[in-house]
Amino acid sequence: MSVPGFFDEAADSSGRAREHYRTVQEWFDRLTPAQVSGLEEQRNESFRRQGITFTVYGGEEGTERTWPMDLFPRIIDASEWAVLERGLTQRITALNRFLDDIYAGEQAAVHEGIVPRRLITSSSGFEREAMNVSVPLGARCLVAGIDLVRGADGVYRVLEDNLRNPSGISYVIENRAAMTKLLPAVFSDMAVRSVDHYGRSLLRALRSVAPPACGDDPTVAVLTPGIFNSAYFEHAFLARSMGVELVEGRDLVVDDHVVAMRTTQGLERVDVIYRRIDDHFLDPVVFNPHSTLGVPGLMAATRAGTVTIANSVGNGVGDDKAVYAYVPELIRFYLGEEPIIPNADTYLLWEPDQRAEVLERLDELVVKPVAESGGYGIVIGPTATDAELAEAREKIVADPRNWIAQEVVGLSTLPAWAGDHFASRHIDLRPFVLCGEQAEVIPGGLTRVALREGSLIVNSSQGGGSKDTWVLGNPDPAAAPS
Amino acid sequence: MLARHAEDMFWAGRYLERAEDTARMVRATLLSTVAESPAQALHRMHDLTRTLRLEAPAPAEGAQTIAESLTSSPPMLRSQAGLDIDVQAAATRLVCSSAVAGSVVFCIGRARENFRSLRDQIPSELWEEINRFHLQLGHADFPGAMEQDPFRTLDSIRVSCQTLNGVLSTSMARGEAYRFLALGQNLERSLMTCRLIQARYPEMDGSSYDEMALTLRSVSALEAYQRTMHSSPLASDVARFLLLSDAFPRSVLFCLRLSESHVGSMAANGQPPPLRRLGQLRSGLEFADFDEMATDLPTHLRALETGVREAADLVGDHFFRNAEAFTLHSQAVKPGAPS
Amino acid sequence: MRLDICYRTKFVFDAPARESQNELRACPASDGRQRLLGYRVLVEPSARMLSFTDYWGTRVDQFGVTDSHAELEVTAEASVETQDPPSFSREAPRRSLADPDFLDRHQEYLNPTRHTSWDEAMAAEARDLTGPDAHDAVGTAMHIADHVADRLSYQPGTTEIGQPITAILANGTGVCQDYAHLAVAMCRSVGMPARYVSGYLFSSSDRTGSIEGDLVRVQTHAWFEAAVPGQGWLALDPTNRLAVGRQHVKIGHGRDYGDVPPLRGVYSGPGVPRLEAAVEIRRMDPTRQPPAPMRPSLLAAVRAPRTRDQQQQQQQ
Repeated sequence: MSVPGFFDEAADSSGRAREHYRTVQEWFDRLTPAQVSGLEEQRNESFRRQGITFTVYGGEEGTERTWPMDLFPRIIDASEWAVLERGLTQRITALNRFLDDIYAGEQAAVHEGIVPRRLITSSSGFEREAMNVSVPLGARCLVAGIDLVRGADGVYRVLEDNLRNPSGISYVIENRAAMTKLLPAVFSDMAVRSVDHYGRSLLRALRSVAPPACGDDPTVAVLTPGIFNSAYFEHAFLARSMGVELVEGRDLVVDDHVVAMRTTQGLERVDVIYRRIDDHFLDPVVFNPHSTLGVPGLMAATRAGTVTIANSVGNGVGDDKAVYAYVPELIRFYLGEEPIIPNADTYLLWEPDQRAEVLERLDELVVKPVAESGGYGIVIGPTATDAELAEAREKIVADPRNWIAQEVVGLSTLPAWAGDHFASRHIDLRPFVLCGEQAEVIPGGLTRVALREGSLIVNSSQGGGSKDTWVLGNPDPAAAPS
Repeated sequence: MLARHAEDMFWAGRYLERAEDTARMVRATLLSTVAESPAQALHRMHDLTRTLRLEAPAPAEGAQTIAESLTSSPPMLRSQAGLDIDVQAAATRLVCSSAVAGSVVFCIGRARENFRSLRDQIPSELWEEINRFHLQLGHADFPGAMEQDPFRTLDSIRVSCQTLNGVLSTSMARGEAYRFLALGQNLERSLMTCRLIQARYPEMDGSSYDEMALTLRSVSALEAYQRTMHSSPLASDVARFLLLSDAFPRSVLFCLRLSESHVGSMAANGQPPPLRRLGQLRSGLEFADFDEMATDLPTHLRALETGVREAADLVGDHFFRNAEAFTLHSQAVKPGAPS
Repeated sequence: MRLDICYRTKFVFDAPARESQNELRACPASDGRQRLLGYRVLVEPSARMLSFTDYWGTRVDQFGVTDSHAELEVTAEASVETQDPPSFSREAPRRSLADPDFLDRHQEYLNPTRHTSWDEAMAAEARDLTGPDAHDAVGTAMHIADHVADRLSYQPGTTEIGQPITAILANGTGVCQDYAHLAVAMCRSVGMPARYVSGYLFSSSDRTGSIEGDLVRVQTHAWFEAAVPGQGWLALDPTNRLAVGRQHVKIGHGRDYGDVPPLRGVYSGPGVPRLEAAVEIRRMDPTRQPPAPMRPSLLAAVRAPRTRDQQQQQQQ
C-alpha cells in the first residue's frame, strides 16, 4: 500500500496498521466496495442538500461541485498533537510579536540585526498605511492557518504561514458533521476531539480584541466581498455560527471615525470586524480608490481605535516567504526558545551565494513566489519542463527578492478511496490557530489530499480533496472552551 | 436588521407578487380571447400589457416590443391551443421572456437573486422552493410548454406561487424579515388591483357579464364576489368590491390595512412618514363615499395609485435610504496644477 | 525666515455629495531646517479631525463628512520658521552609494514606483549624464537636477494626473511634480536613493503664482531629495533651478507623489466637483531676510567643502 520514499501515516514499515489507525483500518477492512460506494453516495447527497459545494472556474458559468471529502480520516494521536499544538502556538506567538514589533513597536528585530531592514521595506505585504496602528493584545494575526507537511523522515515541517485570510475552517467543521453521520459506530469507539466549538471560540477571540472603550458587550460583524466570492459559503457559515451580521462594505459607514452598520432602525455601532476582504480593497481613501468592496474611512477609524479589524492590515509581511526563512530566528529572538516545528530547507534568492547554488540545482528544487499562496506560481524542479525551468531562471535573475527555493519535501501518504479500492495518496495539513487572549489550536485542521495517483497537488481546484482530521485523546479541561 | 437585507426582502415580496399577478391576469385574458375575433383578442392583449405596464425596457436591436409583435403577422392563424398565434406569442413573452421587466421569469429570477443574498435570514425550505421554481421556469422546454398548453402552464405557475406563499407563512418567523417581505407583497398587490380597475372600468361600462367576469377572474375574485354580492354584477359594484372589500385579500383597502400594520409594528417610535401616508390612504378609503367617487373614478384611482407609490417610496426613504449604493469617486489635489 | 501659510481647497459639487472622506497633508514638517510654530485646520461643513503622523513622518489630518453637502472647504493655516540647509561637501565618492548598510537603509528609495518607473532610454540618459565614476555623490544629484531643469519646460496645468516618466520625457513639459518625479527616477536609475518632497515655496521666482510685496499666491510645490552617504538628504528644486533654501517649506516626503498628496479622498454621490485650490504665503520678517535670488545653475550653488566648524556655525 505505501509508496516507497514517502512516510505512510497509517502503516509502519512492515505494512501493519499503526496503533492509532487500527480501529479505523479494521472498520474499513470489513466493508465491501459496494458498501463504501454507498457511503460515498450518502455523503454526496448530504453535501448537495446543504449546498456545500465549491466552484470550479473555467466552464461557462463555473461548475458547482460537491465538496470532495474522502471517507478515510486522518488521525493524529494525543502525544503527537501535543507537540504540534505547542509548536504552532510558539510559531504564531513569535509571528504576532514580529508583526507588532514592525507596525507598532520599536522594530527591534531590525535594530538587533535579526532581519535586514530591506526585508521589510521590500515586502509587498508590508503595508505602510498600517504603521503605528495598534491592536488590542497585539493580536495582529487573530486567525492563522499554518500549512504543514510530513517528509519521508516522519518529521512535520512548516511549508507556509497564512496570516492574512486563511480559509477552509468551514470545511473542517462540515467534514466532521458529515463523518459523524456516516460513521457513528467508529466515533463511539474512539475519543475524537471536537471541532464544532469553533464559532464560539472565534467569537470569543474577536471580542477579546474589541477596543477597550466599547464596553463589555462588543458588536462583531463579518465583512465579506459578497455572494460572488468563491469563499462566500464560508463567510456566511462563520457569521451564522457566531450569530453575528454578515455585512458588505456598503452596509458600513464611518461617521466621526466610528464604524456603524446601516440598519432599518438607523446606524448601529460595530466594534470588531472579522474581514474576509484583502487589505487593498478595505478602504478606498488609502488603498485602491476604485474599490467598491470596502468602507471609506475605515483605516482612520482603526487608527482612532474605535474599531478593531481582524486580521490586521499588513500581515502579508509576516507570511512573505522570504520572511518565512527567518521565522526560526524570530522564534529564538522573541521567545528565547528553540523552534519546535522546523521549516523546510529554504534558499533566499537575493543572497548571491544561495542564488548561485539554486540556479545550479534548479531541476532538483521547488521555486516559489514570495507573496502568493495556494500553490500559485510554484515551479517544481523535478517535474518541470526545460522551458519552465528556463522561465523560472529568468524570473529569479530579474527579481530575486520575489522568489525563494526549497528542497522538495515528499508529502506523506494515507489511504483514499479510488473508485473501487483504497490506495495511497499524498496529503498535507492546515491547522487553524486562534490568538485572542491566549492561543487556541483547533484540534486537527484541514487535511488536503491529492486524489490522483502520484500527484502532489492537493488544491481542490486541481483534483484535490479533503479528509476529516481526528485528534485523539481527551481534551485538557483547562483548554476546553467555556 | 441590515437595511440592505430589509430592502432585498421588500423587493423579493414585490417580485413574488408581481409574478403571480402577471400569471393570473395573462390566464384570465387568454381565456376570454378564445371565442373572440383576432382584432378583439389583440385589443385585449394591448389592454393587458397596459395594465401590467409591461414592455421590454429597451428592446434590443431587431427585437419587437410586445405591442409590435401583436400586429406583425396576418390575422386568423390559430395556435394548437386554439388561440390567435400573435396573441399567444405575446402571452408567452409576458410569461417567459427574461428581457421583459415584469414577466414571470424575470420576477422569479429577481426574487431568487434577492433570496440568495439572504440565505441566512430565510428558511431553507423557502430557498429550496424558489430554487425549484426557478429551475422549472429556466428549463429549455418551458416556453414550448407555454405554447402547447398555456392554461395548464399558467395554472402550474399559480400553484408554485401559492406553494411559495404557503412555505413563507408556515415556516418563516414573524420578524422584520417577514414583515418587509409581506409589506412588499401587499403594496404591490394593491397597486396591481388599482391598475386593474383603472384599465378595466371603461370596458365594463354598461356591457356584458363576460367583461365583469374577466375583471374579477384576473384577481381570482369572481367566486368571492358572487358569494358576497348575490346580484348580477354592475361595473360600479365590481369596482367597489375590488377597492373596498373588507374580506377579500386582494382588495386595495385590505392590502393597505395589512401594509399599515406591518409598517406600524416596525416603526420604533412615533409615526414615521410611510406610516402616516398609509394611514391617510387607508382612512381615505374607509370613509369614502363610493357613489361620489364613482362620478370620477379614473381621477380617484390615479390619485390612489400615486399615493401607494409614494408610500412605497417613503418606506424606502425611511427604512432603506441609508442602504442606497452610491458611486465612489476618488479625488486628489496635485501640486502646481490647479484646475 | 518666518512664513505664515494659508492652504485652501474647496470642492463645489454640481449635485450634493452624500459623503466625503479625506486625508490632508498640508502641515509643514519640523526638522533640522524648519520649525513649526503653529498649525490649525478648519473644515466646512465642520467635521471631527483625526491627526496622526504617517509612516513617512508627515502629519495627516483625516476627516469625513457624512451629511449631504454641496461644498467642502478645507483651510490649513501654518506658521513656520525656516533656515537654509547645511551645505554638503563633495567628498563622498559615488562608490560610497554601494555600501551594503547604506543600501539596506535606503532600499525603498531605490526602486521604481508607480510615478517613477523608468525605461532603458531614461536610464541611459541618466548614465550618460553622470558617467560611471565621473562625479561624487553630491555632484551626481546636482547634475541630474540641472539636466531635468534643462530638459523640461514649465507648463502650468500640464497634468491633472501624474504622467509617466516616458510621457514627461516625450513631451518635454510638466509641472513641479513631473520635474521631481523625473529627477527621482534618474537618481534611482544610477543607484542613488532619492525621494519626492511635497511643500510650499515662497519666492518671486516661483512660476506657479504671483507676488505682491511680502505676500505670494501660489500652489503647493514639489522637489526632491537625494541621499548622500554620511551627510544626509540633499534637497534640490529642479523646477526653479534652485538649491532648496529658507524659502522652501517642506510638508513631507515619500517614494513618489502617491505617498504625500496634499489632499486625497473619496466622495459618493451623483455630482462632479469643481476644485478651487490656493496657497497664500506671507513673509512675517521682511526686513531681515530677503528671498534668495534665483541661481543660473544648480552647480553654481555647490559650495566648496567646509570644515566642520564652519558647518556648525552655519547651522547655529
